[in-house]
Formats: sequence, C-alpha cells, structure tokens
Amino acid sequence: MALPPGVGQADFDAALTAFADIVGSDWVFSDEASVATYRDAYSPSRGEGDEKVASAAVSPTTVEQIQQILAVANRYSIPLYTISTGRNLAYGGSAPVYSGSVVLDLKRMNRILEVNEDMAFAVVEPGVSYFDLYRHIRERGMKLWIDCPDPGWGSLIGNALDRGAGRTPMPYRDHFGAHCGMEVVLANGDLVRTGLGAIPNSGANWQAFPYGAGPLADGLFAQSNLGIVTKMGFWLLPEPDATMTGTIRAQRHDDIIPLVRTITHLQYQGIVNCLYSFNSPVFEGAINERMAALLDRPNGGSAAEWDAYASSLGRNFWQTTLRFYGPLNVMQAQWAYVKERLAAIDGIEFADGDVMEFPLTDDQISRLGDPASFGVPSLSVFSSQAGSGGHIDASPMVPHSGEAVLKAHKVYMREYVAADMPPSLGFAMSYHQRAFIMFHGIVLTLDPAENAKARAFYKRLVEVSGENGWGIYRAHAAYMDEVMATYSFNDGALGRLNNTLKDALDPNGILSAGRYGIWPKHLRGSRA
Amino acid sequence: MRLSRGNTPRASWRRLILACAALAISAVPVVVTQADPAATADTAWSALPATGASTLRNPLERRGQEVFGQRCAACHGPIPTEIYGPTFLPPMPGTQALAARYRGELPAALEERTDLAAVYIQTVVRNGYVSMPFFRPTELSDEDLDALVAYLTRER
Repeated sequence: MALPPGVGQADFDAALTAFADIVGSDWVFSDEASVATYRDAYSPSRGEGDEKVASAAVSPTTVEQIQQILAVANRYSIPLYTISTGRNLAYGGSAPVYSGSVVLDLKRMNRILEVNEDMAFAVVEPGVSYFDLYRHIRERGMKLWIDCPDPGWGSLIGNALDRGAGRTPMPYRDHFGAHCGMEVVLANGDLVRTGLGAIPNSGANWQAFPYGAGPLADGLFAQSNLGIVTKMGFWLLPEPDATMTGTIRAQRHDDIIPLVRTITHLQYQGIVNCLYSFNSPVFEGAINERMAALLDRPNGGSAAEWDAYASSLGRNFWQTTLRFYGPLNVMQAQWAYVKERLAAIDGIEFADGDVMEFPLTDDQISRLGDPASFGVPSLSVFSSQAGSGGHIDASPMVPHSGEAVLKAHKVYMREYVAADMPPSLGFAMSYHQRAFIMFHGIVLTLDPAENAKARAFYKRLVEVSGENGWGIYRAHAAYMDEVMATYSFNDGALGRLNNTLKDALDPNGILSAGRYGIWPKHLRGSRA
Repeated sequence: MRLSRGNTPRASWRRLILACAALAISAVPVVVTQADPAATADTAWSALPATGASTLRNPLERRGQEVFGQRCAACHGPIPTEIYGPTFLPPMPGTQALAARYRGELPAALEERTDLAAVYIQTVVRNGYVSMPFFRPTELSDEDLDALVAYLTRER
C-alpha cells in the first residue's frame, strides 16, 4: 500500500481506520485494485513513472461526514484531493495533482435537492451528473433545459468549478457564470453559504441573486483548493419553442475581420446568443507544404497569398453556422437582421437551416446527432477519440477581434509545424461572453514516446499562449504550475495572493495540494 | 437503489487492513451543521427514456439490465438507424468502436453478444480498454458489476 508523502505508516493506518468509522469500511479504498480506478484514464504519462496516483480514497455521503474526515486529515496531516464525479477527462480525471493524496470522492453525494420550474433553477450536490439532472427533469415533464458539456457523465458542480462550458445559449453555457449560490465546507470544518444563502431562511432567494453583500466568495472555490463545495445552485433555461440555424460563408482571408466584429456586436446586443465557431475550409486538415511555406514567412503569409491558395483549392475561406432559439417569428427576424448586417461583405453567402420544434419526443431524443445543443447529455464526444489514449486539452482565450484570431491561428499553426504535430485546433469558438476559445485537443496514444512529444507540445502551447497574452482558461492537472506561471504580472502577485489565502484558510495544507498551482506552505519550496 | 455490498475477497482484505490499523482518534474541534435530510440516491447516466418492463425472470439479471441501461448504454447502446437533426459527432462511440474492430464478425452492440466472459467484462470495467475509461466502485459497485456480468453472460 502506497503512503502519502511525508505521512508515516502508523498515522496513515490510523487515518484510514478513522475514515472507515466515519463512512463505513466499504467506502474507504486502499487495496491496489480499487485505488487504481482513481488513476487518470487519459493520463499523458500513462504507465510511466511520473503518472499521478492516489494512495487511497474515501467516499462520504454527507456534509457531516466531510467535516469529520477533515478533522482526521488535519490531525494526521493527510493530503486529500477532492473530486466530484471524477470525470474531468482531458484535464486530469480523478487523479490527484499531488501524487499520493487520498482522493475525497464525492460521487455518492448525489442528491438533486431542488428543481424549481417557476424560477428555473436547480440545486444539486457534487455527485449529481448532467445525465442525473436531465433525467430528473424529463421524468417530471418540467419545461426546463440543462446545459451540459460534451460528455454528460460529469458533475454539474465539478464542471462549473473548473469553469467548463456547454452548447446552449448564454448565459447558461458558461457553467460558473450561470451558477447562483454555493455551500462550502472549509478546511477547519466550518460550513459557509455564499450570496443570499448566508441569510437564514432565504429559501429560493438563494438562487435569485448571486452577490448578497460584501466580498463575493464564490470565486475562491473555483479552480482552487480553498474549500469543498457541497451544494451549488444553477440557473436553467426555460424550454424554447423551437430552434433554427443559418449558415454564413465568406470568401476571402480578411473577411474574418468584419465577420467577427459584426457577429460579436450582434452577440453583445442579444441578437445572436448561440455557441458558434468560425471554421475555415482552407485551414482544415493536415498542414501541406504550401501551407507550411506560407506560415514560415515573417507575416505568416499575406491575405493575398492565402486568398490565392484558397482559390487554387476552389474553397471559400470562412464558414460559420448560427443557431437561434425561440419562437419562429423571432428567430426569423434575428436571422434576417444578421443577413442585413453582413450583406456589405463582398461575395458573402447565406443558407437557411432547418427548424426543430420542442419538446422533442423520446424517439427524436434517442436519435439526436448533436444532443448537447438541445440540452441533452450524451457521450458522443468519445467518438472523436476511438482507438486513442484520449486527449489533453490546452485551450487559450483569444479576444473577439478578427486580427487577433488570425494572428493566434498563425502563431499556433507554426508551432504545430515546428513540433511536427498533426494540427488539432479549432479556430475560434464563442463559449464565453467576450473571448473566443481556440481549442487544442492534443491526442494521446498508448505509446510513451508519442505521449512524451504530446506533453512537450502542451507545455509549448502554454508558453506561447502566455507570451502573447492568450491565457489558458483551464489547466490539465499535470501542468497546473506551468499554466499558472504564465499569470505572472508584478513578479507573480496573483500567486502570492493565492498562497496567502491558502495559508489562512487551510493552514495544514490538507486540501487538494497543487490544484491550479496553489501549494501549501510545506510543499511550496522551490515552487514559490 | 444500491444493493448491499457482498463479502468479496477484495472487500474482506481491505477490512482486514483497516482492522489492523486500530489507533484511536481524539476529537478535533469542528463546527458541525446539520445537512439536509437524504433524498433518493438514484443515479443514472443514460439520457435515454426508461425502457418498458423487463422480461427477465432472474432478479440479478434484471438488475444487470438496469445497470447496463444506466452505466453502459450511453456508449454501448444500438446505433440509431436515422439521425434526427444535425450531427456533431456520431452517437454510441462504444458500439462504433466495436463495429470498427469486429467488422461484422461479432455484434457491435454488447447486449447482442453471447460470447462475453465474466472475467473479460470485469477487467474492462475496472481497467478500461484503449479509449474506454475505467469505472470506480463509487460509480459501479462490485455488486452491480456482478449483476452486469450476470446480464451480459446469461443463457440465451
């Protein structure tokens, strides 16, 4: 049996016995086979010496049990690592950042505490998955949508705390942004409710107004290790009448500049509120010699040179599909206005898409090809990794500007060429309100040599993103220090603030050491 | 509802380790607040509507059928013959992957297979296979895994 670093056998045994007294011996896992199920299924170091592994796991079902576990962990200085459903694949899964930690597995805290159809919100525990909440709502015939990330087996709370996103309209697809109210157990066992939840008997008002009064504490508990979130409220979208799409095609390289400006401004006005991405039929696929030669020029290839290349392929340069949600006449007016605003771009083409009406029947749901766009969870995204060892995601945020996305795309494409990696980047997706995600899904294999290359490339993408001010929005557990190192203004003032908070809130450093680069004092050492 | 946990050799071994490590713990001051009363512990991963009443007579196989519906069907269910609406990625990645591997020599949908061995199912569930992640005991208990095995290996 592995021991957490710095913990003696007697103390570890005593802690596990105490954990078993709290949750029952069936829910403390220290045998090799069970502990192995807490590995990262898509570890970039799969089967290698530096793969992150747990020493044991404990799975409570109540807040009181968490408080008792924390008392034991504080007493014996046991490093804990909290997971919700443990399905944060591509970002570290259920494996700890600090190898040898005891995983605090909250999967069994799976109660849906409230779904309020009138006020359109839900309150859930960390073990509740998107599938769970979806089924709960569907079985009761409630006219509400959830917003789910592509894999539906993850936790609403876990995903929101890692600031994940889905595919329905804003604000719902920004999962942290659409939360309202948290309950948190601090490292000393104290139980805190944020926002109006701090007012006794605030009832449903907890999920109506996120701020309450005073400092907004919620942000401290996302992408961090300053507490254990045990409840969260989420705003839900009342089911729209229908949806329809419109596709836009632009011909030339520089058309992306007015396209981005116009569509983002329509987004800021509330006329466009779907998830959209700008795709390029010219850039897609492998990088051939002609593309590599253009990218190799000091300016990454001029607009005229790229236009000539696109013409030789007979392809238009840009394409995006907008989706509208609402009554048919409103959607048609929105789409007509989008066309009117873009009409000045020479050669622009529009194609009307199909209309889909809600609610969907059971049969339609079972045959959906893009379920997440309609708030239906699935696991279809795993079709994209058949036969691979999964992927790791490095996704920088790029501003809403055509010039910026063109520059970022060329910078990243050059990196793919230099590293001899197959390009795996999406151009620009509108997951968030005011910046695009440029998604890099770096494919892993079962070959350690290939994975070493993927790891080096991930680190390079982090570095390049930092150099250009395109922050990585979400870090893989194996590279959180590297990502946080790019947030280095004023000689790392943000890291110093995080450390100050860590020392105040978790003086023994028992909670999720290393998460988002925040290490307890005794492990900081050369990392500080 | 979760079935009670059986006395598997692994579970016994774990209890033995815990029993040997019997050091008393003195209380550390902690603020304790009453959490909300427990509600249903039902969990499900399948987005598909619940199917009709099972025709299986063996309760273990019936439970296994439920477990398959909740934990496996979202990847290993039948591939729809006609997609509704736009396609982002093909549905049922598990069934798609097995179709690509067996090329018609074996059924791609696991529920149609009659050649699956218990140890193979147990190994894949707990260790994963290629891009299929493994499942922890908190997600799929040893008892539910036994039920799943009984369902997929039943006499047909």
